[in-house]
Amino acid sequence: MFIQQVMNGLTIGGVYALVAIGYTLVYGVLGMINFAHGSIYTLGAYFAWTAVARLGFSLPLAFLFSLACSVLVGVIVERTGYYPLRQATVENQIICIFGLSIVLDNLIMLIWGTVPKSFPSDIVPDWVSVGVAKFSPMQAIILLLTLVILLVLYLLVYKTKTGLAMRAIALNPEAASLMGINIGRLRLQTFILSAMLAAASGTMIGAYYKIISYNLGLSTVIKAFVVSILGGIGNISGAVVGGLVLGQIEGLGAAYVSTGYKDAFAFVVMILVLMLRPNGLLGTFTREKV
Amino acid sequence: MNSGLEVQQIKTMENKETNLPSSTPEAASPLLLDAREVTIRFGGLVAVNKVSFQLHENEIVGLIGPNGAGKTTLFNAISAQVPLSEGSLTFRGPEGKIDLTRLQAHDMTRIGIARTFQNIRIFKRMTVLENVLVGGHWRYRQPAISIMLGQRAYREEERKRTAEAMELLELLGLARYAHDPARSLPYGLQRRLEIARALATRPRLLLIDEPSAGMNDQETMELVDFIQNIRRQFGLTVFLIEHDMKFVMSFSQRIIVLSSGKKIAEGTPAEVQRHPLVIEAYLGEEMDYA
Amino acid sequence: MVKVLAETKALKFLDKRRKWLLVGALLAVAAVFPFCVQSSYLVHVANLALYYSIVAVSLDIVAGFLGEISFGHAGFIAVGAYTTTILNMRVLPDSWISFWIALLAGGLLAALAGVVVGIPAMRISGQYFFVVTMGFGEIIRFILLNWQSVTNGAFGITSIPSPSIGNFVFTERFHYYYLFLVILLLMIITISFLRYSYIGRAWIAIREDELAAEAMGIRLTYYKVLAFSISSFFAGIGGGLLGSYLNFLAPSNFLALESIMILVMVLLGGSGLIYGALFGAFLMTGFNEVLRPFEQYRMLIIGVLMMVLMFLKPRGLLGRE
Repeated sequence: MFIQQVMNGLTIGGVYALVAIGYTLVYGVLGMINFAHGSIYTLGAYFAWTAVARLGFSLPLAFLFSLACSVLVGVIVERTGYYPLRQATVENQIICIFGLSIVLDNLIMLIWGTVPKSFPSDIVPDWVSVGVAKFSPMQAIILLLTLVILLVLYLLVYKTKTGLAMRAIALNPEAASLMGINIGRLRLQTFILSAMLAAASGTMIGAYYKIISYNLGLSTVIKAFVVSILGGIGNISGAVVGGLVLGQIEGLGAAYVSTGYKDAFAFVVMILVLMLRPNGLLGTFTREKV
Repeated sequence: MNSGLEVQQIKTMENKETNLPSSTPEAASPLLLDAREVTIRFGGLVAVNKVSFQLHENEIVGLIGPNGAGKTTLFNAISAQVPLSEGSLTFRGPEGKIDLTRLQAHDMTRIGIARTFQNIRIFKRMTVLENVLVGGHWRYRQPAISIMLGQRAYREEERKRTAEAMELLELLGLARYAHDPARSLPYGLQRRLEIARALATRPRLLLIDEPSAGMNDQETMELVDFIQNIRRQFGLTVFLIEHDMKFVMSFSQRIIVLSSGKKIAEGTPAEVQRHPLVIEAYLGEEMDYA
Repeated sequence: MVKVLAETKALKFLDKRRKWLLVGALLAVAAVFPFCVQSSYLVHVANLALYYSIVAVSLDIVAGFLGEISFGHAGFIAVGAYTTTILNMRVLPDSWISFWIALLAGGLLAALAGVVVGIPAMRISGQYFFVVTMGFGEIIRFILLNWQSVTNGAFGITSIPSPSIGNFVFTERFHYYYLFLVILLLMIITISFLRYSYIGRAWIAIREDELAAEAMGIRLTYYKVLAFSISSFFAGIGGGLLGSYLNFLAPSNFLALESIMILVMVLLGGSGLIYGALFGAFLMTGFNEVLRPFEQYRMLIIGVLMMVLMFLKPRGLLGRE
């Protein structure tokens, strides 16, 4: 039972980490609060569902389909809601981006309806018994996929020129632009990457829980905040740690404390962290210079 | 009001005096600020290294040094915006000696220390008058509830403070901008407003951080006059950071020179100018720029 | 020179007089409104607009004066609403005065919640702040959902009695209209007093430049928490009134979306102006009602509106650059 809960937490936590990385990358590079992240996540899940249930794709193909669609979504969203407001005040950015995510959520609702969609349940068997232990192939696939994505992400951010530019911009936008980095293009690239992460996570969670609804966005983006705060905003490895921590807290909390408060645990943890370690578990925080 | 006239008078007096030797014997006036072995570290970096100096009442002292010498950091320490790593800072307050290291930034106005900032930090979306009223903030006594109920005692207090603020603005030649938003003032007047705001706290020690930054020679000379006038009028001690050697020489009674966090010289402008270490420090910098 | 000065002064005077004329006209319209319209539905919409005005103007203290984006206002409204209702229905004796005591207690408890949330939240700012406030709002909602013995969980509290003064009972919609109006006006007067006092200036100074504000002797945490608690107090009062008006309270009244709607009202009209929040509240309420026949598209249109507004009028419709 306990092992099972830990495994559940690990699976969910890994996906939370991916969601949070997508969120925190955008914050780092664009300097904007990525409120639409949850909506893109939901959209990704719906693309995958459409591919599986309507177009008859296999799950891996549906996953790729969802990623491909999210590139397009990323471009549209960044150019309509983010890029035009890059110089605006934080209030303006938040309201505009929040408006955008309302638009996305409601488009999803209009296209796919308010009734939750269920993934066909025969894609991957739920449980496989190995001796006394029960083992979930779906969890294994998600964990493996998460690891692969993390690895690709690591290579991308730390071993490529684009990744270097991203990190440079996150550290010091002005200096980075002086160094000849094309900020406009980099912002778009980052956003597309973030959208792909969101879509991948959405697809995985959709396939895992087998049910998706149009209003997943808000609670997802809240979790991304919480995770990125746990890890320190803009910190990728921190987001992984934060995601895993939140996954465990939710899983164990729901099992041993109360399921009613499942979604509240995230906030309680976040507030505790902010009070005790306001820089995040790994993060660093610098006060404004005089 | 005839305060405009007063300024005029002081100005002519000032002009007469500028040619006179302006060094005051240190022992003549009582000690105001005593800094001993002040050291400030940021991580491994020593920004200020065992700097000791004293300020006496009614003095005007310049703090000079090349870029990155630790001048602003020292200011931040005096105004409690940066903690000391070692050393002591003692201020002679209205009721005896005060250990500045035990105070917080917001306590400074109460004991009589006010400052300006290198990159003008006025409250841009407040009116000029409101900026000055904020300077008088710490002297308000009426509680929130008295304001909310619109009690006479508070209205009385507000009227008194407003009258004082207007008087100050009139004295400093800013009265006709009183109801304009602060950001609409030209650059030079914004500097003045920042000084006016500091004066409204009724300080005994005024810290001015690079007043000549971003000004041409003409504006700078006007500002020198302005600072000399207010010092005389309000009986202030002025401690002033300057990057521009020639400018600071023209009116400081005493000059302290910092280089790489260390005090390398102290004395009258003439003495400092001849000091070999000072020449070296400045020569080095000149060469950096060349 | 003098002439120019005199002319601008004259203009300012005129401006001021025109402003007071406008205020007077609005008050006059507000005073007779329920008798001019025949439909009880319109009075209901006006009541909602007045309720939203109360909570939006109270949020303006934090979002406008202090410049911190709070996404948890619905949480404070909920604290006030539930406290007022539960005290009035189950704790205090059966007397007309109980409601008013409960209402005050609801406001005070909301203010206390403001202090409790404010102290940790205020040590940080920007992005963290709005997540913490949103988290608080959600935690409150979860408590309301799960603490069933007191709040009746998701089913909510029904048949909340109407308030009364002596023998006069607030039964009709237009009774509530005047109740809301009076409380709104009192609140606006109080908040205006604060805005133009040293406290209001301290808030705005913090918004403009924390570091300089601190150097001017303003205790940052104290003034931030003060703003938060006063804002929450009025939000709590608004909540207490809402419960008695709707006769019904449930956690679903206080979703995060509600907090965001209220914030949008403030920013729509123009934050930090008081009348901006007022205007935003009326506009959004009206908008919601007009779009009711297109329920499906309502949120979509509101979303598009929010985006367009931020492109065209980033400081709000009434805000000045």
